[in-house]
Amino acid sequence: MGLLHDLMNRPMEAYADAPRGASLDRGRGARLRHAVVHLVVAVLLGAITVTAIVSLRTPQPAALESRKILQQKIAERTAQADELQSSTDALSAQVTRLQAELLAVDNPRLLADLERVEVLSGAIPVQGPGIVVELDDAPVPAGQDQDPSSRVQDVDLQIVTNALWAAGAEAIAINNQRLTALTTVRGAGPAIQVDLTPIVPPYRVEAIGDVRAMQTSFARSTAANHLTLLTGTYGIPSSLHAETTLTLPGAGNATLRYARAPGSDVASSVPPTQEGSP
Amino acid sequence: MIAVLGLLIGALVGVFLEPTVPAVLQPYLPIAVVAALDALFGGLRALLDGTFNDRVFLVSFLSNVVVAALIVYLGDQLGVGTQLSTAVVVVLGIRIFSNAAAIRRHLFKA
Repeated sequence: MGLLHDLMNRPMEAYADAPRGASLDRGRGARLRHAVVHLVVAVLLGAITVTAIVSLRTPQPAALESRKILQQKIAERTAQADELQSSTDALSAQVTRLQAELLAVDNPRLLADLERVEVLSGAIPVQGPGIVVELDDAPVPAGQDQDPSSRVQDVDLQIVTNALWAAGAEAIAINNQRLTALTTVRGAGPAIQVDLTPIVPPYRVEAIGDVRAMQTSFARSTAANHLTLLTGTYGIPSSLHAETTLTLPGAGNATLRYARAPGSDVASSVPPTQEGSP
Repeated sequence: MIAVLGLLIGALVGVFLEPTVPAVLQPYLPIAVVAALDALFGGLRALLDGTFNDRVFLVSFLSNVVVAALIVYLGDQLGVGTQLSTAVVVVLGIRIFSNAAAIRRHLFKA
């Protein structure tokens, strides 16, 4: 108890003792000097205290500012990437057009072949009837953080697209990103990337093909069960409906790769200088 | 009263000039502020008791801040920085409360 008693009552001891020490007779000069010293020390202490308080409160705005700069940079780079992508699209459209013009005169059969292959490989935009599967993250209750498991995962989209291919889809796009034989759908942290392009919810999977056959086949597939499970367990809303006209973008020209037998230079009839162009 | 006046001037200077604190001193700021609060409450109580004294007020203010920061620094060097900070906060907290109680008794007679 002695310690507590000391703590509670001793703080004022200094003040209680002070008058005896301070009431010594002093000259006017000494008094003035003391006053000046007091003033200086007090000003210093006040400044120090307020500075400490102010600097204890500043870190947050500083962090926010750097975050804002990062956000700005992300937006800038994304705009740049979009711009480059659109110029790529324009150039590849030009290449396709020139190619078609040339081949139409030179070799009409090859042109027909090429168009068929391009549709199959997803290189050019296509249009037609099809079905649309829509998925979205579960709604977040106000004032709460999103539960990571109630978000649409990359595997969900993989299951849906695989089921659509199996159901006879001829062309598929997720959020306007056309899927080809080489496209990846994978999670990168909380985001889902389709061929390195991040996509954000709501996810819209569009598939062109025989509508009725696809609907029947999709409804029977495990993907339909999976969607029901997602809605039931995690509250992820999903819907499926048919559309008479869907327009899917092309995935652009793919880099061509040629197989060659090991140890032999005779690989294909195409000279390597043409690699990379369709 | 010169001390209080000086503190106010210093506070205004601190608010308007916004000097930056060196990164080395950053960890000791919270403790220093708590110590300063303790000195302020002690001064206010002494004022109401009629025993206020500029010199005592300033010396207790300065020594509070410096000693509190020193203790935390020492704790950091010994690897018990957080525990010592807690100890300092507890002691100063009790003092602030007892001084606040005394002030309350003076002001409200309750």
